[in-house]
Amino acid sequence: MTRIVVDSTCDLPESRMRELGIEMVPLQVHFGDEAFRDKIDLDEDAFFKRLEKATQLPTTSQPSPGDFEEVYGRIPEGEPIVSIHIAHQLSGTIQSAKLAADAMPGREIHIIDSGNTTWAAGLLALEAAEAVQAGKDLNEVITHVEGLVPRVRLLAVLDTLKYVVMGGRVSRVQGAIGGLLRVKPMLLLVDGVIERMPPARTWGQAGQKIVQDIEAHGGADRIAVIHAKAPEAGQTMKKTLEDSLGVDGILEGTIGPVIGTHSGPGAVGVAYIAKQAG
Amino acid sequence: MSSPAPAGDTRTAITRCDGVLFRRSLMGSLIWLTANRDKVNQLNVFPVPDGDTGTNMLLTLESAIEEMGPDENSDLSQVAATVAHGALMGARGNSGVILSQVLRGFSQGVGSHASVDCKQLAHAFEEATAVAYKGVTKPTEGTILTVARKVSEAAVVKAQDTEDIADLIQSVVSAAQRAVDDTPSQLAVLREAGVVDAGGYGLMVILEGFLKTVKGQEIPTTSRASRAPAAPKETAKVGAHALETPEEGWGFCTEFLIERPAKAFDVVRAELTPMGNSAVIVGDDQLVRVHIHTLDPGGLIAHATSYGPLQKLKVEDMTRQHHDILAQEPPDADQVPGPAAAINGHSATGQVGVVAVAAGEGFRRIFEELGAGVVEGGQTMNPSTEDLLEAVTASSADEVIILPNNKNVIMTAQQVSSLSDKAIKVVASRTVPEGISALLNLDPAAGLEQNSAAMASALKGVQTIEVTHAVRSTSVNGLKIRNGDMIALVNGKITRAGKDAREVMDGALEGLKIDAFELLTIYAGAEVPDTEAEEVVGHVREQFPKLEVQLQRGEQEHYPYILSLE
Repeated sequence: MTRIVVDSTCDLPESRMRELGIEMVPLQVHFGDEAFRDKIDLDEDAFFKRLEKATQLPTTSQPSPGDFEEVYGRIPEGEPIVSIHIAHQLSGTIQSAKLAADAMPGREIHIIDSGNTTWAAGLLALEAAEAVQAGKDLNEVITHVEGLVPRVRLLAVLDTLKYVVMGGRVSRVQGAIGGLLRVKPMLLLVDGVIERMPPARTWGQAGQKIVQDIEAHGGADRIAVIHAKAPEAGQTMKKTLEDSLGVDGILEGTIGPVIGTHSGPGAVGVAYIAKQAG
Repeated sequence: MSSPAPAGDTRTAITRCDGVLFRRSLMGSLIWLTANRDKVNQLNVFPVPDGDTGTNMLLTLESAIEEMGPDENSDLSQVAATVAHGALMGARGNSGVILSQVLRGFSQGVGSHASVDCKQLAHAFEEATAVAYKGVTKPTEGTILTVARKVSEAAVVKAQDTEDIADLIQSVVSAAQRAVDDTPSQLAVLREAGVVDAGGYGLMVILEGFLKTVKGQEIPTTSRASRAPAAPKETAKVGAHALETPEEGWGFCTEFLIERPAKAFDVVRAELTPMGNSAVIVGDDQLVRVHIHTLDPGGLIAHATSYGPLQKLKVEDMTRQHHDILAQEPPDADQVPGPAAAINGHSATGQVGVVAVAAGEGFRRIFEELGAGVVEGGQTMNPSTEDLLEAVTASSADEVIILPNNKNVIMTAQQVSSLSDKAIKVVASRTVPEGISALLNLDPAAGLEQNSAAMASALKGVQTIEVTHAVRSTSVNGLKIRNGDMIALVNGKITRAGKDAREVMDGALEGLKIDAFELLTIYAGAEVPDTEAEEVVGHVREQFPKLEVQLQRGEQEHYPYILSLE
């Protein structure tokens, strides 16, 4: 049976991964000299508590090829692997995965760049695991997931651009935008590229912008609303989407330590698989 | 060519108006308008500190006259064209913009004549009226437009039985005076207020000053116009405010350059001008710049191509789409730019720039931080076309959106596109909060059309409450307002009056469905100390606990508080 491997930034809950037989390779989070394996040595609560007190922002680093070899090696030989990861533009994780796969010539390992991260990559992993459970063979699973990559979108509403700027993902000039007015910066991640959207001044405006994005892409096959220590804002966002789009079955999740390092606390995101790419 | 004859019965008839007479007479207009500026301003009876009609017309006329320079030129066609250009650059406020259109039309009517007789002068007046009407999308009768029209009608009639320019101008002035007197019967707001239209009155003053010079009378620098305007009574809104601002214009705004045209400049201009409206065709035999509003851009372009290759061709559907059909663009240029700049890889510096009009250091900082170039002005001093043009030119972007942030600046902003090589859109923000809301919707990498549409639709998402001091006693919408009272305007409409800023603010807020809003931003004016502003914020938070309330320092003059609800 085909097995699915993800990295820890996909932010799927451990229980769900266990249920679906998904294996996870952790990234690293560093507070000063202290290094933690994401989700293993450091859960979200502990992470955000430390983040609040930290005088210096934490840094993150990709898993080593050895970390991947270890996880791939845990999977019995003969079971092909589909390894779905954070966009190569955002992290060197996929590079490590490729090196590991090259070092294991006997294994059938297919690596897919999700072009995304957190639950947007997580949704692809869910789709892959469910396809496996539905009895699809390796090629069908790969074709299915690769077809979804250009359709998966992540929209994030940040409480502040501070973390994303300090993490080097957005330039300082762009980070200066709207400081005086305390706007809610919005980012869009699709195909590995982070784009700045016009900011919102209120959660209501932010929700409507996301609704418009979903509608502009023909609706969504699957939606997840996620948050970084902002459960209320997450619930409001979920309700906005349910009311405006008339859909149910929206998944709920959280933003983990690695992505949380860049989004900062207070962020809310919507990951979805659009009916139409573009 | 004639020069002004001595006053009185003994004067000889002046049969032609040349550049010198026009120049001197227009200077007479300026002196007479200066003397009567306050009279015109007082007709501006809407009791908010706002751009005054008299001042706006005066500054516009001053700019027109300055453009002529120190030397007299006997060629009327040149002088009129210079004056028209100067007026356009200096146009401030709606009445100033319309005055600039009158002068532009006059110049077009004069055409290439070095001097004109009565019939030709009447024709120039007709053109002046026609161009002025075209400058306004929904012309309103009972305004400066009506006065201009009555003037040109009288001129045409009088030109049938006189060859004396002074006689003609005398009839024109009489017609203007009658037309001004009639404005209250045409416009309810004037009737209620018991005043005449300020812009129309200003035009009449200009013509009176013109007549005095033609007749050789000395112009008193402090006197009154021949008839003082009726004193403002109750309930007043002046005609300049009642004028509908053009929203989008009509047809296609077509612009291009022709380098070394196959025909002489005058021929090119003469041939192209009738092919559309609002034609601005400038240049010389080396380079002609064409700006025409036409319903048939294809026909226009086909014709223009006969002079030589067109450069910087731009056709803009003024109600809908904007197409850049620049010849140098690759054939696949119809690819729509992505929704936003990629942060990885691409620069996020926008190719669409924004110029915003704002008063107050705090507002300036907010606009600048959001990436806009700021032109000082707004409530009490309306910026000129030239001020806006300079800011547009200073922008590093080739496509620029202008946020007027004041209803009296919208028309001025709309003049800028005909003067600039850049592609320009005016997003008609009427208040500063509307402008901020619009600017927040600027998408750095989207195109001009997409951005101006998104920004225009963002205007609807914000409600503005402005709290200010009444500058005169009046009564509006059933509210008795005494000079010095605090008044609250909701989206430009006076809805509350009282003694206390907080009281009128509360009243205005109560009149809105507060539950529908999430965020109230209070922009404190320069006169409000921090402690008082914080008290007000605390008070509003108590009144509306569900609302998020933010305090900002706008540092605007005259308006202690500007509130934005979204």
